[in-house]
Amino acid sequence: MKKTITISPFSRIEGDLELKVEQENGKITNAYSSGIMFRGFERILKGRDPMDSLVFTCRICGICGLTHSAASSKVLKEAYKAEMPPNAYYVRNILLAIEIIANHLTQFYMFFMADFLNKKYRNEPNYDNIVRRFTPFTGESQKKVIQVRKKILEIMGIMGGKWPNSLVMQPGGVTKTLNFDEIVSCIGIMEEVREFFEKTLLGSPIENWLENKSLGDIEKWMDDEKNLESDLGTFIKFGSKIDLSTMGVVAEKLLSCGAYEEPDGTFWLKAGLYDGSSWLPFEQIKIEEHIAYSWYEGYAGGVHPSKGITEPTRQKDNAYSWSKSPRYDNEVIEVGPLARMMVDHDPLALNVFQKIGSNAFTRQLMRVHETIRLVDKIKYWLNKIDPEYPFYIKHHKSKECDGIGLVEAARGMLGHWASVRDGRIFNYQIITPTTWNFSPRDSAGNPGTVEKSLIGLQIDDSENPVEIHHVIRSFDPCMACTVHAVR
Amino acid sequence: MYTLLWLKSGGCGGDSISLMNLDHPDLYTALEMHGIKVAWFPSLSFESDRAVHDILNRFVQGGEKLDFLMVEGAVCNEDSGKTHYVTFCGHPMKHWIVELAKRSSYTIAVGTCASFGGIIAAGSKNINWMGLQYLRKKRGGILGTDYRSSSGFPVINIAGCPVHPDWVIGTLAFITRDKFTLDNLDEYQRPDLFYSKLAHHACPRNEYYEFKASAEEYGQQGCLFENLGCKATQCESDCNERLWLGRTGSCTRGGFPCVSCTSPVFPDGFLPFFETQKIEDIPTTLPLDVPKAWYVGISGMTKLACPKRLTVNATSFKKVNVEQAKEGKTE
Repeated sequence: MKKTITISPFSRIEGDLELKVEQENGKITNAYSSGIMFRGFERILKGRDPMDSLVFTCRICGICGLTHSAASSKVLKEAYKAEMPPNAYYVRNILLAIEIIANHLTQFYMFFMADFLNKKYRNEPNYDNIVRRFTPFTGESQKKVIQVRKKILEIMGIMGGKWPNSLVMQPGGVTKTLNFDEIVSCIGIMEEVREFFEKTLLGSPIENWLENKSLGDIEKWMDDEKNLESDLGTFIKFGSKIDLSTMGVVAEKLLSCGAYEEPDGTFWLKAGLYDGSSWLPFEQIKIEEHIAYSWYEGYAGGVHPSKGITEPTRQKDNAYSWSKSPRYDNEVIEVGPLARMMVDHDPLALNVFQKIGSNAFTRQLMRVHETIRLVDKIKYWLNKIDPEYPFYIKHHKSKECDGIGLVEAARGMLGHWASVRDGRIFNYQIITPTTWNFSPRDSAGNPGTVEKSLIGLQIDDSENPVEIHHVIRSFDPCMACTVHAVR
Repeated sequence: MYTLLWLKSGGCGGDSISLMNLDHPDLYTALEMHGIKVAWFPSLSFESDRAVHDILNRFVQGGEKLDFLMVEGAVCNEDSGKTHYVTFCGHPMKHWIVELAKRSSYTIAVGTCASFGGIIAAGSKNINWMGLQYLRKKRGGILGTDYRSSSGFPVINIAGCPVHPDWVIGTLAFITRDKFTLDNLDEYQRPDLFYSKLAHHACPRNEYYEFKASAEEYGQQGCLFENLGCKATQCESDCNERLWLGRTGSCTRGGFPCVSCTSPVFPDGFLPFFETQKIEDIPTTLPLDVPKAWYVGISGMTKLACPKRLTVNATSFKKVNVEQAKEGKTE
């Protein structure tokens, strides 16, 4: 029997998403993902002082605004030929890591796990445990995570003043000069955060988890009762029981622009494209955006974001989203923590991906794995900061210049492209991670990553399609970001 | 028990995220403590899809009492049609806000976008973004000048980009404890408890401000007002007293200028953000209620009286002690 289901709104995501799926005998045969809110940041920026982009772009997104700050300050750094002192690189890395950890914890606990409470799972043996821990507002683990989230954001307060919407990141570095005492406080806060990771998310030291290089190692890790009973252990056990790895299966190329730049210009997490068998260099020039199925007009085919011509139109046949369709070398791309880990040759990611591929389970697992790696790494950057040296270098402004800012955000690659003419913003174009993952069809009619990942999904009850919710939330959509984009 | 419904319109979700940063106590404890039941909160609630339509319809049809209608984000003044700038549960968001606002005891705009149009309404050209009852300083907005919720209040504007979580929960607590009257609203309908001070109050750079010992570039310890665009002496908020993120920081403590985000004319009333516009060395952005002649007189005097300790440190990225400064050992 054929049937079309439309799902909207989705709670526990950022922004508004509408999803239409066609199904036949419980199997999804087609999917359409729509961004259903338009805000038009690029329009707002046109004609402004380029420095204004620092104030505006962080306000594209409440959950990953600092990454937009990082991208726009990088645009201006390149455009104005500014230099940053080493301390600024470390502070930026720490702040970006804090934002991503806060995001991933929120996503895992508050957004994703709540779907395990679905009535479909009422008779699962571990259901009571899930309810006890993950019920929104009252669950035991929810109450703990809202505390630790606040704790880790204290580092954001010390180093970034406030959040969301800190303006600490500037083309010449960071505005906050840290003293020794503040650095020691941050190291101390990380110790408290670590305790949450080792007692609640995991059941044993972080180092034990980081020794896992394969699914087999994870099985052995789960042999320890404390790990098995931990929140991650609960996810692995329950996720396996409900066959999460059969949901949201997709085999697209994985892309990362590289993350956590060190003063010498290298990245802690490497940049590149993983095409399923080999690793290729990342070349931003291969990015193009399509609007064939988006509510925009003005061109056919794909256009590089530095030359993006776009005008909103509310009357367009076939169009179904305010999101555009970015493609890399004309290919559909998956971005996010899984892509970052794969491109970085992370041993655990390689093994899991080779064994079970990209699916809702792998994506969630890699998101948590990345979080743990970051908690481990922050101390390194904190110890690199030397308060005897500056955090900011003054720069000049140019009236005619161009800049590109590529940064890995929580959900994947974020790009800002800008051109400045006569001292004002002539064009400012943004491609967010969710635009990659949740794009509508491109000019060739190829569905976006999430649309593809839904095709073939088996739904047990079309009145309660919880499987779709697992898939959607495994991509951690930020539709607020996605629908920013109109010049 | 009070019932709360939170809607996200044209915004970034930053106010929801900021609310989750609440401490003294945490958000979950605070809701329980103030007897607030959340009917639906987009970022946290279990319900999606048709369950949400059902919740909205129960309120619209009067089947359930709605105490707090909280709206985050600017609203697009659009009617039902083929494609909407903001669609929610099958209608333009405006439809739901208008319908729900007829039922709510208190209608609360959370953040500067929902209050006054904010960032979203800046330069949006032919798209009619506005706040619930204002566009910038002009009354009207989506609900109209005469709108009153069933408690007799106009829209309560909890401005800020983002809001401080205390401002939201504090306002709700004020109401649930029967302490809130119309007199508690300022001229832009903001609760005066939070918006009657200046962000400048308790700024750790205040001594530099007093003597006009100013930073010349970011990363330095001096005051950000004279050269680097800080609007904290105009911004009606208590940021530097209240502090953010576990009471650890604020904009000026983070070394960057206040952009006066609680104002109805944010953002475009505060350009440029990162430098101070001056006419003949006098900033055009004088502190709130300070006449120019007085400013010129006082600042000239204080500059003359400024201790060396401050002139030296104002342009240094790290603390230099006076003895070193005297001996010329500064960097």
